[in-house]
Amino acid sequence: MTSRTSLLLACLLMSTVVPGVNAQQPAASTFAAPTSVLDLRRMQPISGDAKAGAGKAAVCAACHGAQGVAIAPNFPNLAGQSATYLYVQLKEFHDSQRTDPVMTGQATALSDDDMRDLASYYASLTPKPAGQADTSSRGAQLYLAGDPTQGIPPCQACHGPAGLGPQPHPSTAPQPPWATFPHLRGQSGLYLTKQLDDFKRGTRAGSSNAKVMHGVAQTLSDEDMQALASYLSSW
Amino acid sequence: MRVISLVYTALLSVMLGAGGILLSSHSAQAQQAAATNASTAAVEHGASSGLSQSDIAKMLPATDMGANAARQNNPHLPSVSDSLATPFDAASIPVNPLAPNADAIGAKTCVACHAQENLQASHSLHVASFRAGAANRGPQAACETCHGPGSDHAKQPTAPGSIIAFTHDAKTSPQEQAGVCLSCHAGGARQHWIGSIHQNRGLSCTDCHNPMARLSPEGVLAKSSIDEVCATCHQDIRAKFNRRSHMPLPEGQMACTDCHNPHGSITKPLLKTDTVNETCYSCHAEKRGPFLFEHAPVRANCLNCHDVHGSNQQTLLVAPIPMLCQQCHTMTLHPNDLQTPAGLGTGPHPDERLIGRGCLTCHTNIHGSNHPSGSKLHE
Amino acid sequence: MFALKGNRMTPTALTLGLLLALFGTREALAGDTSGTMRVGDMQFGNALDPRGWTPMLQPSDPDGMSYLHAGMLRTPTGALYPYPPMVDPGKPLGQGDWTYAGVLEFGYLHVGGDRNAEYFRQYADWRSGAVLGLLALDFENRKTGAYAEFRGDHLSGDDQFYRLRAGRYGSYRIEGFYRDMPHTVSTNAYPIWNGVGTTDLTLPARLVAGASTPAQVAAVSATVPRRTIGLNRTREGLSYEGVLYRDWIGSAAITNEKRTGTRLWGGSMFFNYPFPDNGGALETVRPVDFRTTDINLSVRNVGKIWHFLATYNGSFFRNHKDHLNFESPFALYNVAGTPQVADIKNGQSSLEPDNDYHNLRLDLSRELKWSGQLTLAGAWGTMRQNDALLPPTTCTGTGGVFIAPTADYTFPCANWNTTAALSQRSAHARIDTGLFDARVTFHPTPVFGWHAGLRWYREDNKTRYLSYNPLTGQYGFISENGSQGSIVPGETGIFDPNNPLYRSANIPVRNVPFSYTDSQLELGADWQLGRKTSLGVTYTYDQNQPKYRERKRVDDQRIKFDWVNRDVVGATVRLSWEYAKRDGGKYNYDPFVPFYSESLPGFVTPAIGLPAYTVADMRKYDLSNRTESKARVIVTYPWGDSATLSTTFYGNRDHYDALIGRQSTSTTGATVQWDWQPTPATTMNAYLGVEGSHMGISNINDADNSDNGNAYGRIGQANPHLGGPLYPYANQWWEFDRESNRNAGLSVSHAIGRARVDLSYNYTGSFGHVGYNYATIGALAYRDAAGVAAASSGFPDNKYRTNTLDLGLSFRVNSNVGVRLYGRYETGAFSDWHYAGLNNTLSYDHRLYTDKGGQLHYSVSVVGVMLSLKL
Repeated sequence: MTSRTSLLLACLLMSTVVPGVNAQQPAASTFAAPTSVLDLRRMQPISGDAKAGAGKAAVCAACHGAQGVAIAPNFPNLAGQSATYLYVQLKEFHDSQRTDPVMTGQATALSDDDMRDLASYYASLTPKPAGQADTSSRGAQLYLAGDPTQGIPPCQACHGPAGLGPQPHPSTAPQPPWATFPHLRGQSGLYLTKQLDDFKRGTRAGSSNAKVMHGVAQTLSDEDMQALASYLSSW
Repeated sequence: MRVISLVYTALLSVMLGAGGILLSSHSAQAQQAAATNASTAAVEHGASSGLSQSDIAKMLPATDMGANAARQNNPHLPSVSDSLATPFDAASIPVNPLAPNADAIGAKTCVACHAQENLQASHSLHVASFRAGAANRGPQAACETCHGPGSDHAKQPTAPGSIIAFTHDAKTSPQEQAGVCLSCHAGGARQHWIGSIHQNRGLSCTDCHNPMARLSPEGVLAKSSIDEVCATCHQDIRAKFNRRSHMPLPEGQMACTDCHNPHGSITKPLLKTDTVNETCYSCHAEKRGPFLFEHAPVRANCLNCHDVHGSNQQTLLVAPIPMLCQQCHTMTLHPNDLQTPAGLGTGPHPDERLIGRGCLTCHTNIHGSNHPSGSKLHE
Repeated sequence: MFALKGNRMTPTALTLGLLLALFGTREALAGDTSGTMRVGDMQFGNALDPRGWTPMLQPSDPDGMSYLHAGMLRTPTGALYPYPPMVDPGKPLGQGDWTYAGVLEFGYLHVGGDRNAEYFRQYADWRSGAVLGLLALDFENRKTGAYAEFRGDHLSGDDQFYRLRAGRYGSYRIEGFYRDMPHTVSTNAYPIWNGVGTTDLTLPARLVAGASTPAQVAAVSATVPRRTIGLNRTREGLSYEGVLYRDWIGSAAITNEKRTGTRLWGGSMFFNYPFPDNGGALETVRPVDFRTTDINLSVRNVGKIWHFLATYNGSFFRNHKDHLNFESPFALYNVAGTPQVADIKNGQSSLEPDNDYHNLRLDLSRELKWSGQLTLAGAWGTMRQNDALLPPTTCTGTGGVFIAPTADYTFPCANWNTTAALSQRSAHARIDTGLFDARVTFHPTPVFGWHAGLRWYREDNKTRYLSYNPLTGQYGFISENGSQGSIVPGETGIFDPNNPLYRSANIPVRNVPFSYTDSQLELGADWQLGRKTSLGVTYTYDQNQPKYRERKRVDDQRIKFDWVNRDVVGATVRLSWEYAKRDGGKYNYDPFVPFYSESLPGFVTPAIGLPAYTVADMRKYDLSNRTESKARVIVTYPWGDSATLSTTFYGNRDHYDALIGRQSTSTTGATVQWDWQPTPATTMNAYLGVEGSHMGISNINDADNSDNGNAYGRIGQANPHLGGPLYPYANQWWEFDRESNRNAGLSVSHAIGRARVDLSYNYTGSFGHVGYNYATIGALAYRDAAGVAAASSGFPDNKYRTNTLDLGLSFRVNSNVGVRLYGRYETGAFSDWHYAGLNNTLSYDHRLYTDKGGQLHYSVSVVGVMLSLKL
């Protein structure tokens, strides 16, 4: 009990400090890309044992909530997220292609099976209930239609019209690794803003997907990110 | 690391370009260097609504090729005679019949996701020339001048036919694909594309060309050389060039397109000239004559005796001498004997009609003689 | 390297400045070029790098073509696009908008083994020494689209190219090039003559023209040094393409080619085979000393509705050596009459005359409704030459045979060895051509289209020549420079209505101005059956009307079906089948009567008639009735996401309705190819091909002539019919040529870190067999016991086989410097019965050969080390 509380406190502290650090040295971090890049282009949907994952999720719940809905807005909600996406993120943390003061340490100890099980477990949970999003907001417009004048592509192409993942038509052409694209609906706005910012700056650049998002985020102003985040978090 | 910085470079240049467009078009040239700081201004400037097709059309990087006439006949497109850059001025955004309601979204939107494609395409001749044309006016339409308006694709990238596609799973028909290319690359060497065998067999321009990457330093080819492109389908013809006598194609001195125009011609085998013989005479001009004394099958068609893609006989002949000649020459006296190994150099009766050049030892001017005593092509 | 680069900056900048000043100010638009409209110069490369730019393609970009998906996309047909090379963004040049990028690859090659092997050197001048693999320099102005590119390579002074292109995208392009291309004809030649490469082949001191014995000739032939016979093409060109005025685009190109060297040639001093120790059949060497200048001009206008194109092609061929004189070592003797009246010892051959060619063509097309198009093309061309003619003979003194004062077949050479002996002093040769082509295409709906085409082409030979000697009043010529008439009495080549000895000589006295008119009508329709299937049917009617040929009209009707399906178990299948039937007017086996002396007044037909010109049942294969069917299937199968399997099956069957002549041809073949590119670092390709072909002919030995055991000129010689006295069934024979070809190849390229291995292996095996049947030994050229025994049922098999292994090992020292080790090992085997025995001797009685033919076996290796620099 005590250990869980102290961990939680540590997480909270760290997560508030780290953005601050980033903000103080933006120029330095812009090109501080990880040395290795995870090529997700051939990534297939994963399978794992959700039940086993439930047993391994105790530590995670400290931040991400017992039902995968985060306890604070700086943590992402995991419930109902794409299992493959979650697995890939754990793997990136594990291999230092994505870094986070807390998650890097947490993922280091996980085996590949652990990651698969945890990912499957969180994917099996019921997502956060839908809210009332303002469909006339700028965020909605960006998400659904983009903004050609600024070169912003619509997010729904990869994240799905409902924010619940992509819905590709079948094709024999080489396909993007659809399963590795996260669901965004109901995600924490604070978390989203930070991630978009990281993509834009190149601090989160450890995978082929991150390179795509880097290009996308480059087109987004801070206001655009806020607008998107508030739309998605309220959806 | 290197890749990352290239991506940055590419994006930076795109942003530079976008900044340039949204500032005034004429002063932009001078302000290019300063445009780095202009991106915020650009954001404010263009924040109102989506681009209409005509907005994009105004920013078109030009294509080429004399289709300017088309543009000038089109009241919707502005005149470009005052163009500062390469006047690639005729490309309009083609209508995609499979996505009739789609709107143009501009290249910047496209490359936001397609960064690596953008990097490769920017160094292919095709897109590089677009870029050059757009250096003063922005690169906005580089993607959509070929792929059609992109708004449907951007929303649902896998929706069938959402953009004009040129690859294997394309829902766009080969005719429509070719139509897009021909809207600029019309006439000239492609004047006879319609009705050519390649068109009839459903080939698309992108079966042989790939304008999206520099797979060949010249010719925007789909493989790394002309001959490799042709051999994709014509493997048997390529193999014939490995035979004993052949033209210097495997040695890199010739390409299929030295004789053939794959874009269509008025001859069945897609020859560049009016007849087979005229193609041959282009290099073998000495055989053109005319000679005082002609050899009928020679003048009629070189292919009567030569298999130009390769042969197991000397000098590309279709059959060994004397058999080749004895198909027609049954004349009384010496031509109609059955020659056998008895007449070889190793036989009991070495015979000049068989050894070495055989018939051609005496009828040496077989392509025609200009000698007053050469009526039998001896002299 | 950096120091070098620093030094280079100033001259390059200067060059660019010049180029810009010259061309950079054009304000117009122009297109992709008319290269695919002009014959030639599309490819610049060499045997070391057939592509001519391979070093520019490496290394591949490890990131591939997209971050969004793995692998590469495929062509609409289904073949994979290769992974793109790593982008070289170039380096800035000076302060402006110019950037440049370049590759320099040079090194040293060592050629070992049988480096003179004919088929190794055929079109490549491999030599030990320094080579320039590639120098490529690209300059580009990203703002204006102006560019300049240089490419060059150098395998040797005879095998190299340098090319400069410059222009502005969409505006204009200029190109200049210089190239040398080698062509080795034989590396195994032993000409006995002095003066090889000139117009006069003279015998070495040890031999006397017209007076040497075969033994003497053989002795000389056995000791002359080996020589290489071949030629070199040196070609330069300059071209411009760009806007002339508004929408008018023009192009102009001039190329000049010099061909110099030698080729094997013949030399006839009349038959040796019926006349042992007499006559002469010589394989000589001719000079090649050509210059061809080509001029191509075009102007085009591409509008929305109309497309207009006018082209002019002019070609001007000059042969600086228009004849070949050779000394024959062999003594001739007359087979009847007073011995040795004539002293004929020299031969002559004309070489190709100069010629001028002009062709003017207009192409016009117009878009029509229903997605239609009308295309019209019209062309007029002419080829002409008016070279001074050579005298009918070079002999001096007296030629011919003297039997008796009433049978004096001699002729004074002085009457014939001058151009005064000609009816005209120059050739006045001319062929005019005309073309009209019209095609209309409609696609009223996306699922149905039709087209119709009409093509008319005429070739009109206007050359008229009569062999008439105003000095003697005789018709005809001097056959084989006098040798024939000096061996066989009366076969001089002369017709003389006033001389009983010559008034029945049926000899060609006029040229035959072969001409033809070809008209084609084509009707076709195509249907789109669903989104992935299409079907086309085309009917073609082709009527050819040749002049002075055996038929006045030949009709060829052809129907062709083609079917394309883009999803047969995922594969694209293209299938075509065509069937054609050819027939025509009455077949006249001897249309040449008007061109022979038999048509001249005063000709006296012999009592037993003239010998038949040829057997009446022979059908020449370009005119005979024929049925043809052809089929081809091309399958392209996308195999997984990184491999492609493609195969071709093809065949044709032609049957000729001919008792004598070509009877059938057939070809059947298949190829399979597998391309695999799992990652940008690895590619692999495997290839197999087989093809078999067959050609069958029939012919018939005539029953006259001493070689058939009959005296020449007997009753019945005028009967042309198969089964008649001249052409008895017993003398018929059938021959076939059967060939099989096998090809296999494997190539692998794999990069590990900074190193890359390229390996490729290619095999070609071609085997030919000529066999025959004959009714009786009456068909044979030799019917003595030895001849019959040797006849058996066919010739020894011919063979051409090569195995080539290429190995490359490249290592990138850093991003600008690389080292490449290159090795090739090639073996070959060759046999061709034409050359059987020539390795032992080139001399057989009065026959003398020069070329021993390709090496029976060879193996050769090339190793090299190349330094590759990014500039």
